[in-house]
Amino acid sequence: MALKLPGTISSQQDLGALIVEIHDCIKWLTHESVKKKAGTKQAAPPPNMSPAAAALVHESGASLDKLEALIKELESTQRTAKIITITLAAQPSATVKETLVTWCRRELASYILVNFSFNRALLGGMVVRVGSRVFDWSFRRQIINAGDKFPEVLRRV
Amino acid sequence: MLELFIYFNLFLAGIATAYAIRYGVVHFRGNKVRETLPTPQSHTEDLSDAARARMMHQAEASFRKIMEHAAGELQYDLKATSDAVSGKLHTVGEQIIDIEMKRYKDSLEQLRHTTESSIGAGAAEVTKHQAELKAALAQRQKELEEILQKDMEAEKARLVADLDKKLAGAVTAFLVETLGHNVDLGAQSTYLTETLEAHKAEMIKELKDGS
Repeated sequence: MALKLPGTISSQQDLGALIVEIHDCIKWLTHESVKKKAGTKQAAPPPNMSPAAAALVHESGASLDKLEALIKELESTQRTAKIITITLAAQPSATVKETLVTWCRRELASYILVNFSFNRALLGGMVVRVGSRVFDWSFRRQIINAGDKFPEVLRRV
Repeated sequence: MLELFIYFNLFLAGIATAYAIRYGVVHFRGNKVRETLPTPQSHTEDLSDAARARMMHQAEASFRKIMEHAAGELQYDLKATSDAVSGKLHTVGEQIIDIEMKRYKDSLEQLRHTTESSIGAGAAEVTKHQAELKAALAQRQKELEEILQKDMEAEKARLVADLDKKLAGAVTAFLVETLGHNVDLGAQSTYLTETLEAHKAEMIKELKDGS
């Protein structure tokens, strides 16, 4: 697969929204093509698209065939891609999301999808679920694990 | 009392003086009567010596008898007088004793009243002093309790502040030791990627096993 998912498209929901946007774009292009063939001069405005969708449409050269192939590829990716879930202590910003997704696609798998959630109880760090395994690297876990050291630290202070 | 005793002594002295004057008058009057009386004519020359001697003896005996009788009467009078004086003295003495006893009792009663009054006044004073002491003690206790309460509150606040400071330091030290010195609690992006990097192998293995 030559498809390279943008960093802003991290989860299955993002991917689904991207597919819908491209579908809308294909529909618009089809309508415009029919109207062109019928000689209608009045053109409808293009649908609103996210930067990621616009970039993919631009890469395909607005070719209907390429866009159909892209959708198939995206749907295939949606079905078969590995999924990991990262839970953070706060709602992640777009930058953090993109940083983490980029890292995952570079280091783990090219078409991996990353679902984000947040839980304030974690205090910091993150909990990563990969398949059936959960890696708890949250501050909460580290503090709980190091609870026995607290009296020693308290004595030193 | 003393005046009464003096009057009584004067009375006795008066009696004794009266007796002395009486006997003195009798004595002197007797000598004068003897001097003024005409010397009787002696007719004893006609009497025989024996008759004269016998008469002398009879006269002497009669005189002695009269004298003895007079002495006896005087002794009796003196005894009666002495008894009367003794009785009087006894009566006067009893009166004096009664008066003195009454005065003594009155003095004792007065002294008792005075003592009771003093004791009552003293007891009242003691009670008043006790009440004052109690009030002063209660006031002092209240002041001390207030001071103690303030001290305790200040000490409590100081201890709480110390504890807060120590706990804050301890928690910070604990977090730093537990989470690592490079943790930036504000921006975790670097920390997250470093963590992922540190556990990359485990995650890749899990992804492969899962597929």
